[in-house]
Amino acid sequence: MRRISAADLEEAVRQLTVEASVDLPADVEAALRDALRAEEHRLGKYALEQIVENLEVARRERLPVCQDTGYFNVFLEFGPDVLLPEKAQEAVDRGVAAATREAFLRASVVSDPLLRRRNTGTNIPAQLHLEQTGEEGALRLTVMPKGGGSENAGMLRMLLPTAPPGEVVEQVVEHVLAKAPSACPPVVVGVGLGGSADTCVLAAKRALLRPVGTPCPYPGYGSLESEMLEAINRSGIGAAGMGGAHTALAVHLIPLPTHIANLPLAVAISCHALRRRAAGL
Amino acid sequence: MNEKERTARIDLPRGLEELRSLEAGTPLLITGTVFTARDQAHLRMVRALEEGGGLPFELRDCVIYYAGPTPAPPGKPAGSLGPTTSSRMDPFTPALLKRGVAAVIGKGPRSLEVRRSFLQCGAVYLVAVGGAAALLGSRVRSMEMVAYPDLGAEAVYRLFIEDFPVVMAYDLRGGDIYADGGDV
Repeated sequence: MRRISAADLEEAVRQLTVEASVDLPADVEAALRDALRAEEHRLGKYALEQIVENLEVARRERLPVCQDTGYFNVFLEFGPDVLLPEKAQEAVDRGVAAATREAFLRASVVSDPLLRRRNTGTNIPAQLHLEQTGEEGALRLTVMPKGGGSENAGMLRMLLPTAPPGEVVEQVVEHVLAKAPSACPPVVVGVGLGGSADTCVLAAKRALLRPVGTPCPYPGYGSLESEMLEAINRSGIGAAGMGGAHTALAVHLIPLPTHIANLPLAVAISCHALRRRAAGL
Repeated sequence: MNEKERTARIDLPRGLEELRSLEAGTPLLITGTVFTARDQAHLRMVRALEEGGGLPFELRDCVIYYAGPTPAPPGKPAGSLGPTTSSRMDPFTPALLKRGVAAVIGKGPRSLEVRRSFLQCGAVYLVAVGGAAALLGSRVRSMEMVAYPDLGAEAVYRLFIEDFPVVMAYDLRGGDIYADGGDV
């Protein structure tokens, strides 16, 4: 058995939260720089120049990449013999709250959705997702802050189980084209397909964790991802919705087993500031 | 023509007339005073107008920026400060434009009704690059909370911005960068 202490978990979350907030991951930055080099549209290029310059300013000045420092998704993947601290959620929350103070992050979380909407002041509670893996002794921690504007662009539809692949492509593309202009393009599109209404939405969000530019790990689905990406980028919406060939950087799909009566389809959209940091513990 | 040659520089409030004459798709650099307001501040301002309450700033000829800043780190006038999605303010915008707001800075397209309201009221819609918040925050010279302190990041702040990059999105001749993809 490998025991993880609450203090170690808290400290890891604090560090990853700070770094994720001020410094974009290398895969996302490379995709944005490639887009800037390739973009020919006058205003699309103008937007990409500012997006790339912003990454440099944020890193140099240790400022949040975006003023919407987000709602914190924390993914904990633990091996079969790894014992998490009894109060893992509390340890994770202390890490997020400490990072919020240290890195001057905006307090963007309210404790009640409708009747009070009182700001918690510390960005807690974090959204903690636990998953057991087969790897002995391993604990992997990923922090992904996600802004509210792109979160508003999320979608869940329950398709007929007889829907052909073309309909899945069409529904995703139609949805992304409607939402992308307000979701800070170039976006990264996460797609969940299958599972149930709840797990499908989480798969769409988890799809954003796959490094941009890596091939689809699910046989047969890579061509669907390419088809969606090409259709989205033919729209001309472009960076910041100002025009051009870069409305999306990537489409990542995760297929799940599902019920014979179901074909859930979920979309999670990340803005171009796709912030995430992962570490083994 | 390259981007630097066609960029207009606007000093507020002196440059308001020039601002109103610019075409959709024109990049500009704004210097002057603007007020932040987002979802909850809009709700309160429109309620105040309906109920005859006081407003946090003079609406005539003002510029509203849809934004909620991160806290300013020590030694800096502001933290990161980019635009938030404008369409969430659509239900409140016509009431404010009717009171003489000169311009609004945000991001993304608006409803047809709001689009018409900008034209009818003689106001222009400017957009900044969403997510370029550290860069945009570095163009803020001063930041002061002026109303609704209980809203935190959603309070109203008076900003003095310098060479703040935006693009004319809806001009006063019906031009719209989202409708035609801009002047390619």
